[in-house]
Amino acid sequence: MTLRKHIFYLLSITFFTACTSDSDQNTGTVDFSSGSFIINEGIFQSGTGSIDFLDLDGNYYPNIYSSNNDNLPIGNVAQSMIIHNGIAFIAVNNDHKIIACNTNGFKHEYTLDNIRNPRYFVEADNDHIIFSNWGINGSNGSIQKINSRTGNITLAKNIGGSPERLLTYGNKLYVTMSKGFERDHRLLIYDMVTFDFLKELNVGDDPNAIAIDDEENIWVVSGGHTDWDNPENNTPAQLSKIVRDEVVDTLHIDAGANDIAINNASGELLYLSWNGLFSVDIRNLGSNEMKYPGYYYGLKRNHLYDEIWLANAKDFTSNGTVIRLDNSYTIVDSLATGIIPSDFYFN
Amino acid sequence: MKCFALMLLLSSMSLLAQKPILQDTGSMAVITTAQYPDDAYTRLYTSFSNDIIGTLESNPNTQIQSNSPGGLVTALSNGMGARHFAIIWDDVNIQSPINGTFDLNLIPAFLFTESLLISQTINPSYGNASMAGGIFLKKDDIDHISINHLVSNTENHTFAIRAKEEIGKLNFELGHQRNNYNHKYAFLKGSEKRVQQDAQYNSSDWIADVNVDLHPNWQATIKTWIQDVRRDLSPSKTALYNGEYQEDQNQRYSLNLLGTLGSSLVKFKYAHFNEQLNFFSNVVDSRANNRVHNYLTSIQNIPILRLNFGVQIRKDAVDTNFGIVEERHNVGLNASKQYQVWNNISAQFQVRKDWVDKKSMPLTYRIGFDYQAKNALSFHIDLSKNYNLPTFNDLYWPFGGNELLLNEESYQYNISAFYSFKQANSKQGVKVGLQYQDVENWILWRPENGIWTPNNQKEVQHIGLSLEYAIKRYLSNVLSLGIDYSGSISSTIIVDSGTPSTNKGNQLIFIPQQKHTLQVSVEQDVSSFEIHNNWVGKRYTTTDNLNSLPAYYITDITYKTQFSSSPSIYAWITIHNLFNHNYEVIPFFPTPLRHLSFGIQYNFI
Repeated sequence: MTLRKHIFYLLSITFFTACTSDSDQNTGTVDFSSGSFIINEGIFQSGTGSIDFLDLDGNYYPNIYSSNNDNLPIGNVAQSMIIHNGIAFIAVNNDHKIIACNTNGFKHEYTLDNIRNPRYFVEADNDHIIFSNWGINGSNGSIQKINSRTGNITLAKNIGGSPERLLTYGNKLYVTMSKGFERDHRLLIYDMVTFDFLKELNVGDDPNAIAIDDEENIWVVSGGHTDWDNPENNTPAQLSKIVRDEVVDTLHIDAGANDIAINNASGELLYLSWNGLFSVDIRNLGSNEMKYPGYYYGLKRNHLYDEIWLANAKDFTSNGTVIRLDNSYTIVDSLATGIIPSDFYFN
Repeated sequence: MKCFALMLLLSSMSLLAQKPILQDTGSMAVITTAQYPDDAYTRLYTSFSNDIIGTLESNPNTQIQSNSPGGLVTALSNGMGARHFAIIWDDVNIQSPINGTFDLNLIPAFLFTESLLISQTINPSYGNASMAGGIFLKKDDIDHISINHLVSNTENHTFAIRAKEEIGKLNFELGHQRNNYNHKYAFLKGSEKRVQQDAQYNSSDWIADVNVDLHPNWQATIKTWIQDVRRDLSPSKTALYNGEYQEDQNQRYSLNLLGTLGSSLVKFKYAHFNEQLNFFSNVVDSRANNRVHNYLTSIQNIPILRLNFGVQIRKDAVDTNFGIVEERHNVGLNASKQYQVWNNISAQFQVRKDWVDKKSMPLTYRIGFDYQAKNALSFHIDLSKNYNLPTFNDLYWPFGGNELLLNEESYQYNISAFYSFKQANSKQGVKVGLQYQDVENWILWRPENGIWTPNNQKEVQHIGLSLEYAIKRYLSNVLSLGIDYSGSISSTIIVDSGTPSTNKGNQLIFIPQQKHTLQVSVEQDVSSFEIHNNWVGKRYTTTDNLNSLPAYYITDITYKTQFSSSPSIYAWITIHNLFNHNYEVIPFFPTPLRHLSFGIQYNFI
């Protein structure tokens, strides 16, 4: 074989290798670090959760966990997620685990098993996230801290009850104690670093959502209590305003209230109830107003688009949709989702 | 001729079961094994499987709904729900009025060895919870002692014994079956092979029957069935076991007085059930009790009118720890008549009227005609009107029960043709059936404003076409070959939900549109070899019909032989899921890969 042939073959191999490489790049790894994530619970027991993703260029990727991990199911049911230090953490409630994926391709990195009924996450500091969980029987919950760089749980505190949504402000961790499998009405406040207990506030039955506005007021939505045997024991849903760790104002709102989103520009606080999306003027707390009718299973403000996103789980046994509203509550767009969309994460 | 050909269709239970019922006089109290010719029986645990479920799966009109071994198993007959399918023990429906189901796991197959399947309505005879047919729990007659022992390589053990004795005018039978199942079967989770760890199932069943001849024309019978089942409910592959555990503790008693008055057969019955269902997990403690008092009187062949007449009075008293404490009182009258319209045309009429808590229920009826075109060819046509009550959970479930629910009502039409012929060394039979059912106010649970609640769907339709074919060819005096095929194509859709719905016209979830079964058997002298193939088509898993489970195909093979004739000793071995297919009946619930079972039966005269 002549040298010229050797060079020809070498160049050919280099050419085809280069082509293959280009091809991989075109169809290969997607950057999942920034964009809008839709967390779909999946059918309880006989289903699996899923994650859909809309990138900043408007490309939509359904079911990104399974499609990037050999069709593996996430598990039953996907509850929430957070991205921290390049790792996406997904709480899988009924499979009692937290899955960690890298954001570069959404490949599975590791699983934290035997986390009983994990619920929601919040960022603690540059190295840590905190999650809530309900414990083995749904009412002996705890808060736990994960080092997001190592995947190690570095701190755990059993606080009982059914800790749900979390908020950090200053050095404090605010924990809403939802009804879970028992009745509860507390907002618990802990030292974010040590988990030392600081304070307890009564914010009405079933506090299930929490947010902070740009004036550093903390708002809690509580769903109220329904006694199916004796309606006399019912308590109304409530919105609580908390300033310097004191409840300074409350408003009775629509039964079954849940979820929360704040539009600081307009001064509107949004929440969901059984029959629609409602708003409250947080600068003049006094009345609420339905903004968009229907039953929705999840609500968040998407700061990437300055939109309101509503999760429509339809009949809970078919694929859902996300309704995208602008600030005047007009539909901008909608997205087809997996089964039972319930939560969002925007990064 | 027809009976001879019927015998061929051993796997065609709908046919075998249907004929006796269609010829039945219609009174609930007189539907007994004595009504049917011997060769019309179909034992629902043929092929030496140790349960009824396996045989039901072979029926073209029946879909078995189960998640994993040991979990809840129900039968969906002709596209209808579990709530429409009756389980009849000693002439009384034992389907739970609380949740509208009966777990088929709870049938001790070796103690009910000749149960019958009816895959069309028995509502005009039995009233509530029977418009898709049902199973009649019955047993064969043993000589003296029958013992069955079954083991499998999944660490499942079954031991069953029945003994019969006669002392003077007393006739006793005592039976006991004990199942100790570890269900340690292999399954695939993704590509990873695992062994089930959370599916222990332990059951103990006792039956005791006593017959006393009080008089040459009168007999008293006492029947008892005591049951205690405790089991883990294994999780799906996407969930972690969270202590799910269920207890079923049931006591059932019945007292019958049966005799003749002139040419009429008269029966008086009192039955009492005490049924306890407990479910526990790390987060749930649910306990439900139902006590049933059932009185029944029937007269068959009333003089002059040649009519059968029955009266039923039933009380269900439900007491749960989740807030349902209710009673239901039911009074039902039914009548039936059968007569020969013409030489080759016979007709059957059944009618039933119920009052539930003093409220009048719709009149239900069935009219059927049989036409014997030739010796080997017959046609059947019938139509019926049926109703179904909401269950106690439907009405009073504390977190979404709907007391405004309407009764379901349906019209059902069946047409079938049966042809059989015999040649020198073979017998063949073929049956084609067409069924249509239109259900108004179908009860469906779905979320409403975030709370699961049942609502009436205005109209649901089912249409099904089934084909059954059987041939038995004698290759020599001791060698024969048998082939049985059954298949169905069906559709069950919501025609009108009564509310705006994007799912209108979609197939109901989990009900396959196609199902086919093929069984090939070779018998030689005292031995036989069977290959059983079951193909179940795609099943939608979401109501928008965008997600589905793929079709699956399972093959079981069984070899059986007789070692001794006195006492008769049979042994058999079955390889289940021969080709080791990974499949799911309900999404993500594991099902066993290939496994073995071995059984032996002793019959002492």
